[in-house]
Amino acid sequence: MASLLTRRLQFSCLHRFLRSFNLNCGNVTRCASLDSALSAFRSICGEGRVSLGEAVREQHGKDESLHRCCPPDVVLFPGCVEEVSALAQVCHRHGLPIIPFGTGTGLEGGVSAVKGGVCFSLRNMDQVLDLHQEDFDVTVEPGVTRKALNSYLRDTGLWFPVDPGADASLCGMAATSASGTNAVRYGTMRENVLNLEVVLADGSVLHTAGKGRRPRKTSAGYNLTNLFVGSEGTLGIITKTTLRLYGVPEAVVSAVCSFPSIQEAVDSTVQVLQAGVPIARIEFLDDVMIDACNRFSRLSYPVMPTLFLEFHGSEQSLKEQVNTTEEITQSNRGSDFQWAQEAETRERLWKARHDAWYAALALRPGCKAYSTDVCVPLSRLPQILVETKEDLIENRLTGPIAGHVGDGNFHCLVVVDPSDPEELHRVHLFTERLARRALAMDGTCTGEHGVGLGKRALLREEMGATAIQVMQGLKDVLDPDNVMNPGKVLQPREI
Amino acid sequence: MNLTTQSAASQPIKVESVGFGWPLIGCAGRWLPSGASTGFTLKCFRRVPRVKVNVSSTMSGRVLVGVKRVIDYAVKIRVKPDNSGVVTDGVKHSMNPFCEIAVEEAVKLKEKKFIKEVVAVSCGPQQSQETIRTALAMGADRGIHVEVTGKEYENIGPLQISKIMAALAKKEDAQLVILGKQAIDDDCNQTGQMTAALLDWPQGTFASELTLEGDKIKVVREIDGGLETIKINMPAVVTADLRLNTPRYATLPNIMKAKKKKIANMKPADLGVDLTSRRRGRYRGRRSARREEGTVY
Repeated sequence: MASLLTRRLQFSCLHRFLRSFNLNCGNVTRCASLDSALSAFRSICGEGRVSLGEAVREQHGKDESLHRCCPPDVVLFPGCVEEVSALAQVCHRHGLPIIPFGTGTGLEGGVSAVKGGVCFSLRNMDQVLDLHQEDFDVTVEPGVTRKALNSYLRDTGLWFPVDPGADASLCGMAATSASGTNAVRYGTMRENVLNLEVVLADGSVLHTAGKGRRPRKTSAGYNLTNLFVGSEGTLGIITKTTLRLYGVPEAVVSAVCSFPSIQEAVDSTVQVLQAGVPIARIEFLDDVMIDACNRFSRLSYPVMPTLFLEFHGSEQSLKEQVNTTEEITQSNRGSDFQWAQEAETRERLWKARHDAWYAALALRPGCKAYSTDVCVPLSRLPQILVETKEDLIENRLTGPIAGHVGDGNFHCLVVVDPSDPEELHRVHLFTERLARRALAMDGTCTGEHGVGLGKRALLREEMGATAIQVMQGLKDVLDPDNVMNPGKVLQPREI
Repeated sequence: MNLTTQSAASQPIKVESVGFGWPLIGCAGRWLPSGASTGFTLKCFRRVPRVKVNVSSTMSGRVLVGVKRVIDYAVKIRVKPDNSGVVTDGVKHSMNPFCEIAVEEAVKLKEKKFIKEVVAVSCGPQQSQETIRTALAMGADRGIHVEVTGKEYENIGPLQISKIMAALAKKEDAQLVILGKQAIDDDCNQTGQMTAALLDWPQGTFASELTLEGDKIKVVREIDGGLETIKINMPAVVTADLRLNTPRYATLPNIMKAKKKKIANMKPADLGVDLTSRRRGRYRGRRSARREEGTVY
């Protein structure tokens, strides 16, 4: 009897799991409300900016996650905030879902049009507006990507340091509260967005800190800016963001150090931070990952847990930083401490870290990789890493680990064969166990990637009923008809 | 020709030879169709031992670097409605990317103590001074702004610029002139070569590696068949190609310091240069045909 029950449970779990990866996407036939909306769309942004082509829709229905493509019914390419507002009003009138789209580099299925609807592709709004060099701020539109902004700023001695890896749209990064390797020193998007211009579900345009305002700090009213940072398109369409800039570091030194165990590597990290070293990047690669990188990039790092470090500062302060860090790593049984200042040597030292994703994929050619993402307080990091590695071995999964240890955040790059449902199921259970392990250690189920489609249940566990009620209340106020990116972040109320 | 052999080993094998400014002829290597740098060569000449020596005392130790203010490479170019040119008003301008590489190389030579002074030169209207300031922030010591404005600036081309550069090279007693290989707005790829011809100096164009050896320069050039290594006497003209180096970003402290460095102003007439254009006809731009979205059945 019990075995029958467990088998039934397993089947329903499997069924639910497979459905989450193979959602019934959108409306297959265009409904009448869409047809009447189409003529309104065309009159607002022009014939050439409204696309019904299947290839265009499929392109805008998926991102870099493993979630299946859910194409929207129509893709619009507005050119300015007035058009976005007018188009949003039309969608609101007809009850059509609105999905904002930046660069499609998200990792949690945030752009999947699970209920069909209208995709607002904002790539034509690609101007850098209002650079204020002395004030260290700049305002950009959604089509400006991180690398494009840094290239624009290269003559000014300023840069925007948040680096999530992909060349993502800055407004998209604000929408998902992106972070990156530099977060330990420069912070994440939450700390670096000063103001947002948001188009709400009914078309009204909101300036979260007041129109054109960019003070470095404020205590005026409720913090609407940080409400929208991380809202993943469920509260409004971000059409402008004012960002905090930093000075380009005078000099950069990169270093690498191996450790006999994870505990020593994390201990070194904690001690480096406690010593007050303003380290810019501190990245951890476990032995499986180092082995993969050695094979992929033909390097010869010792196959041990390794820390990759980067220091920013003036020439004198760099010497001091490197010396302090070397002493700390040596006291923690670190070996093979190498460091370099010249650009080419630095590239070579960090090559393993840069190619980590491809090295992981190369472990099993023909497979896809899924990156988990949890964040725990630093003191619990060794325990969760050790338990996760045991879990991977027990479940016969390939999962090299790369982490931003300075923040207690790490990713398992689980390499999985997408055509093997049994393996997909094991991966899904593993990620749930990992997220629950992190929650049990006072952590979060998503450090950088966002909630998107796959982590809605975990968000409920993490936040608790009251917080979810408050979030649902805010959503009801800003988007009572649930047209803004439905199906993401918050679960539907029926469940 | 000297070609690098990319074998299974991680280090490419370079065979060097002395050509005294002429490329090697009669190479018996095999030319492979794929890739620019595969093949091998015979060592035909006696190899001269490489001796890195600091600049000799007879040379001035001064390098002239030309920098051009162009429309930024990331900007979408639009043609003016009357087809007379491209829209430049309100459009972001910056230093030509190949000129950035040239400035970086000159600053690297100064840091390695092969040369003593880097002078950045730009010809154009008042805004060209911003480009010179960027070069100063990257490490140049002083700037020269040759003022060319209005109609003259619209009609100026590589011939006039090379006359100016040649006159300046003589005036400043430069031992090396480094330019970008071409500008991204006109893609002429002529200024470096013309400057060398006017000065009757050797030229090392499309440089992807540059080494000073006593009073000679070893230049590795990127050519169609691969890489060619030549050794030329100084003074010389070198033009920078893409892989010569990665230009540094200007940092804020350096930008502050650059504000105090001097930029000398002069007119082409002060250098005895005549700017009359030999070109006939005006620019006629044409927008490409509009692509209409249609229905595929």
